[in-house]
Amino acid sequence: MTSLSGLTAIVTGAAGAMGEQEARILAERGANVVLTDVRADEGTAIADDIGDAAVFVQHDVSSESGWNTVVETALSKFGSVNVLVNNAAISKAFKLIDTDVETFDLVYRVNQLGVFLGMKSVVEPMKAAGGGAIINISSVAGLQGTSTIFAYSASKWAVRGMTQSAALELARYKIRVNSVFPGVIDTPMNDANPPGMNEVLVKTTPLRRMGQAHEVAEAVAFLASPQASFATGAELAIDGGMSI
Amino acid sequence: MTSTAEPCRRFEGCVVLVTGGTSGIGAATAIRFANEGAQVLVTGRDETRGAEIASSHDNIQFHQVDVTDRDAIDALMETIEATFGRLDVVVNSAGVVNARPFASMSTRHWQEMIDTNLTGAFHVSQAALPLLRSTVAGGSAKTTSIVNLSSLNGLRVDPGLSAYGSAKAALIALTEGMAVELIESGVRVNCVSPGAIDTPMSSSTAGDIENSEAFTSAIPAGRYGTADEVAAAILFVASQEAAFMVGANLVIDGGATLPSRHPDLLNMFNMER
Repeated sequence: MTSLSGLTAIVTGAAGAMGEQEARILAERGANVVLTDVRADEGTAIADDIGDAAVFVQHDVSSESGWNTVVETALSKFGSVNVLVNNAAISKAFKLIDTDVETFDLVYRVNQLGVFLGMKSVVEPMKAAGGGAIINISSVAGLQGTSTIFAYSASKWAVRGMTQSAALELARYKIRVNSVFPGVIDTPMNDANPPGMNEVLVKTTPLRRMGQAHEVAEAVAFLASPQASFATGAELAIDGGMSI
Repeated sequence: MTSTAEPCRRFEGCVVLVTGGTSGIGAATAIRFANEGAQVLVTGRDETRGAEIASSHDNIQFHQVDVTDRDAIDALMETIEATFGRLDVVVNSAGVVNARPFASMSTRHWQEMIDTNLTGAFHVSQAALPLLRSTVAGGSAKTTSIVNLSSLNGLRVDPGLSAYGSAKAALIALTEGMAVELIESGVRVNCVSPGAIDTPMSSSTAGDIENSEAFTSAIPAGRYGTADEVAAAILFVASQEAAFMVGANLVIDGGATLPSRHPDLLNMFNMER
């Protein structure tokens, strides 16, 4: 049983399909949840729907001062920070030769800088709480090279590397840092892919379907819970077998 | 809410086979499955320990089966089919570990490590497959699941454990090979790789757990894990919560497989524990 009662979680990118499911499942298991996203209307609506256990903060993960606001909100509203889910990400489907500096930098700022700032921001409150759990959402593109999403793949490999380093550094504070590698998940992020690409991705998934956002959220909930108390630096692929 | 999970009783009505389930991780796993509603069959070689675990819970029964004995395994599968008509989860946790220097290792030692730790999982999984498949095909379950217990030593081999590590590394490869072939018929195959866990088996190589500071200092979490912490991961992987997990390897090692750190380096950054 993955009870999270009494814990407070921060979920970034919570107005997106995967972040929303993560926030909902964490709340369902008893956690208080701070949802953050740049999309205020959608994020507020989800937090309102979850109820008293949720609050929304409009937040760009690449803003360090924004992170201070998020952590302060968690502390003032719920009293602690125990779980951080670095979920926010953007994808731009460009090959290396078609990727311009602006695109690369934008993907870097959200997908990599945002994860770094998030982890850094929660260390002190998690130390104060006697420990914590950070779950970084990488991607199958962080386990393999890709031929079509160059900047995204680079940023997701970075998430993997940062997770391992942070797991080593923060274990002494009983802060567990793990990463999840979703495969092709049925979310609007795939809409940006070129025509035909999603069909090919399903064909290369042994399970022959896209994953659902809640299937990733279940893995996040497990890693966030006391049940995963000896897991740190773990890399959990939720990809229907795609990375085999 | 879209979650379909029932956190407390995820395996109500399910039939679960746990090999090597009379002690350590296997026993903790059997008890967790039983507590979540499953009918659990435990196998092992030791009849006394088997009787103990069977008497510990109404939903657990013991069958004295050696996983290297294919005839006995086939007979067990017939018994499961006749008794329950279904099989939802197989946990291949039967394993043995002994440390031997490579240079003087006997062929017999090599064979024992390979037979129990690797070939056993092959036999049990292949023998269980028809029933795992028919449980899906008959509509009794959306998917069924095989969970192989590898080890930190399947990823990074410690001195003295070249035979054991070879078997455990091969078990990860076996997991992947089975996963891609069997998912078509609804059988999910995944792996869980424990690090140093406080069990009778680990104390056989690490000595007295209480006095093994040299071991715990190499674990970023600063301690051994418990059998129950591995069991919790096995249940997650086997559950419908992990329905999109195929061929994955969940490492539960307190960070021990992360790149090792020399104590002097940590001291330079004022990072001693």
